[in-house]
Amino acid sequence: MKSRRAITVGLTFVAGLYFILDFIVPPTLPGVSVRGVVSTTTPATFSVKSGAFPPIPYEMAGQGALRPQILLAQRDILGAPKLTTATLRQVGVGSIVTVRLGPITIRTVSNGGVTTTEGKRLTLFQGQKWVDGTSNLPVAEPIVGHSLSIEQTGGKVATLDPGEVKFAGPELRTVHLKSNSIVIKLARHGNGTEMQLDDLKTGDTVQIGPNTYFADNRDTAAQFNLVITTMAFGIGLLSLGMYHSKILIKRPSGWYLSVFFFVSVGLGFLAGLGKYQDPGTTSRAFSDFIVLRVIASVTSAIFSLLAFYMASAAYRAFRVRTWEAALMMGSAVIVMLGQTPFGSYLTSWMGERYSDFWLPNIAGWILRVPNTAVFRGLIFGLMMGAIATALRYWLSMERAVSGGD
Amino acid sequence: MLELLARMDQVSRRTIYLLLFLAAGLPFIVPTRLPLHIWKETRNAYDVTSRTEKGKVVAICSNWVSGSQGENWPQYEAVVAQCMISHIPFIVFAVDADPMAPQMAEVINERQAKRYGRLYGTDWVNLGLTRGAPLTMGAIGRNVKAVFQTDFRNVSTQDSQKLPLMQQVHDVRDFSCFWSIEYAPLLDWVVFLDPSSRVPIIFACAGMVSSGYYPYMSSGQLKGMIVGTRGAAEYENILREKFGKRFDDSEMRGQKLMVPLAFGHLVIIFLVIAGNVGMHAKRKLNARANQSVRPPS
Amino acid sequence: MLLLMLVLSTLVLWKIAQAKLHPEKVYIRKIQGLAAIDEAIGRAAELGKPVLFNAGIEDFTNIQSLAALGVLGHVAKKCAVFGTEMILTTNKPIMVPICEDVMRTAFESVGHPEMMNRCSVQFISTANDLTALGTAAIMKDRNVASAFLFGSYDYTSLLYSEGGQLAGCMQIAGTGDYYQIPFFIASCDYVVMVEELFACSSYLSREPVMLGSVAGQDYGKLVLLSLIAMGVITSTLFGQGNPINGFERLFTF
Repeated sequence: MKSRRAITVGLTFVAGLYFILDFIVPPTLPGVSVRGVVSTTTPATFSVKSGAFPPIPYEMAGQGALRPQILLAQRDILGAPKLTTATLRQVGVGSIVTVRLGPITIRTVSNGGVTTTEGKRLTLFQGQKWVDGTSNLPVAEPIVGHSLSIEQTGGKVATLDPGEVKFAGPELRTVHLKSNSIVIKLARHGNGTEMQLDDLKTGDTVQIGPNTYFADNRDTAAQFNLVITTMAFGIGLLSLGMYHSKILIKRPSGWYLSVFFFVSVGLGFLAGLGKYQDPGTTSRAFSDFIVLRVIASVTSAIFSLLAFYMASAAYRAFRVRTWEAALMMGSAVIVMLGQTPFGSYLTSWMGERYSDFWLPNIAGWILRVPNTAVFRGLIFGLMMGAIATALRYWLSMERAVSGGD
Repeated sequence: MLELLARMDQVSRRTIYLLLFLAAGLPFIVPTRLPLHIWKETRNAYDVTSRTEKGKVVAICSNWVSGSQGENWPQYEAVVAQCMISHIPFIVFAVDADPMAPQMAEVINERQAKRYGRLYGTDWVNLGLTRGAPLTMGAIGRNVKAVFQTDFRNVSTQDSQKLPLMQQVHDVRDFSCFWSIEYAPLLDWVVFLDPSSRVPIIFACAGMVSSGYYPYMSSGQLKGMIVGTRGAAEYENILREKFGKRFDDSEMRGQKLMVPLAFGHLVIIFLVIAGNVGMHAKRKLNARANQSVRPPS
Repeated sequence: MLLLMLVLSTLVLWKIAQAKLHPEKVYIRKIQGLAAIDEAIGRAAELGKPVLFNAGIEDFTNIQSLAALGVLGHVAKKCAVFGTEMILTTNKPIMVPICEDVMRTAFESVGHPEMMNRCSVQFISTANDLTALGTAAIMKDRNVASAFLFGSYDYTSLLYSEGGQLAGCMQIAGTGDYYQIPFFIASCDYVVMVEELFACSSYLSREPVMLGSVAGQDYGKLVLLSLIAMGVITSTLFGQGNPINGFERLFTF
């Protein structure tokens, strides 16, 4: 029991600390970071070696299609291989990458090389190949008029130079980037944004320094959360399935209701598959039928119960016993009427000159002024309560939950 | 007379339900149209959306499902109609919502696209559902395509042929404005989506919860708001006023739903007044009865 | 913002430390809704009927759900002492093991681990409205005597509480979702409002450390209020275009 509590307390503290640091820690290490106004930049260069061929040099420059795209091989949820785009900062010497240039449209083909519609001449290095611009499937020969890309598949990064930045000013200070450096473009208001070297313009104010890695892993932390939540759905479904299977086996009274569970799960599964199809197909029509005609109607009916419940609750609760209650009821009636067309219908005869006294405008004033004041008070209490509760949980003082007595 | 009034203190649930049913149901049989006052929050929402620059998109988080469709359906439909008529591209996604949410949105997108001749992938993209708010909200702001690697139809968001629109959308800086349409939109969007607060945020919420958002309107953190069916009907009126016949309102729901809603409100007001009259009448009757049984002093 | 957070957190921690040193000095006013919890469980024990608990519609990432878990711990302890059956309903699969764990811990702490066999945690549906209707059905079918609705709620608040009304339950609700409070007031016996929800577990446990955090909350509010007062005064005196802005009048030619 004690060790379990110690583990819970430790984990809670570390996770809480991460989320706090995630917001507090700046993206670059303070103290060693430098700040300045960009004068010129030297783009990053790298070379990738495929098999026995000599390394092919690339420069992270050029606009649009001819800027090299670095792709990393990963697998999707179903285990199928896929390529995801990465920045130069995410790879190092020795990483296995695929580099793609394009797509470009070919104007002429001559002597093993091509000319693009922009007039740029390109030839293939050993280890590179032509691929289709859309499907990325290999193409034997470049064809005039077609959209093609140049690809070097699965090469090893041989050399990597992250480039440098020259700052404006009398000293013309040059900052040579390291492999863990990041460049943050500073904004006058709010947070800065990370930039690639060749996206910088002269005059941009930047901060360059070693990465603190907190901001980098923010999205990974978000994915952790995503995975846990999604897993819980699977566990919920399994648990429900087991519960209803037991009922079907034991057959107590009302057992047939459990059959509906399995039928609904089956129908939901089929409807879920159909929703990815294009409109007009049978499976999509089936999916739309289940979602819009069956589920939507049922849940709308449940929601409509609220109207009835609300009417009877309002009838029971709105009784004027004190003058405060009278005040509340008066304002409630004004707001209710002001929200409906009857509000303007009843008071618009006053004319534009007295439009401030139209019911919708009085209702608007009640919502924008006294209501706002009240809600701000509530929000303060709510936020302070939330801070205190969060602190109690973070520091494991809430014994009812973290264990212990 | 007093006895009759005193009976209003205890109106049965069934009578209340019947009255409400009649008030809300009759306008569907006898179509009526009522004038509408346009609130400034609704007009602001329209103005912010219509100021979308070329190269930017309207981002919509559509988390509503059938439960709140009475209010959120017409709101979403009106916003989509505005985007499609004025040729404003938009992306739509759902965060932590019911799995039906993207599909409900897509049905409206397809209907409106048919009406105004717009194309999927160029004029709008439905990115489907993701989970893990509020962290995911920040992640969407930083890199949309990292969160949504495929769209609603399982097409890669990197595919420039099928989804050309997605090639111009990278992060929150490519949004002209952000809409959150659901029963009670999460205020976490204000904090997490764009920490520099440059992207205008607009909420479309249910009437019931709207009072909680007014403080954020006056502080400027929300740039516009559509409140319930009333807001949707007002938005439709603005579209009618701005686009005239180009706006096809034959199947729009806002204005139509406004009438039963108004009559429903009237019934509730009537019931509250009746309950109070009944309570006071009963009190008087009790006082009289007490007086008559009191022994002479 | 970070500075403000640090100041507010320090205040809470400072009051906690003070409460540890001088526990007798911490005072919290009576919260009607929480005082009625024992009455509600006692009622169920007398009638021999179960108690129902719902921890809101959100999962553990919502601070209100966490506050509700604190109340759940207390209710579970009381139920174990009175030997009252407890039913918990939820719409989040992930809350099932968490609630079970809180209940088990509470039962063990009062020496009744066997109560776990009599009580149940039921996941009904991920759809909030269906869970609300399912809970209302349980209240009616199982003749629930008292219902506790604590945590975050959306439009389904009224489906839960009116369901309880129709089933004749004594109901205590607590939420920080301020726009749902009117509905709870209209249909529940007691309502714990907004910040009171966060004071619940401290109030119920009566532990000085926990009470200290509530006192810290009030000091935090004092800081916020003084900031507002300062803001109002400075913008009134020095704000641009203000009619009584003496500085502007002095320096404008």
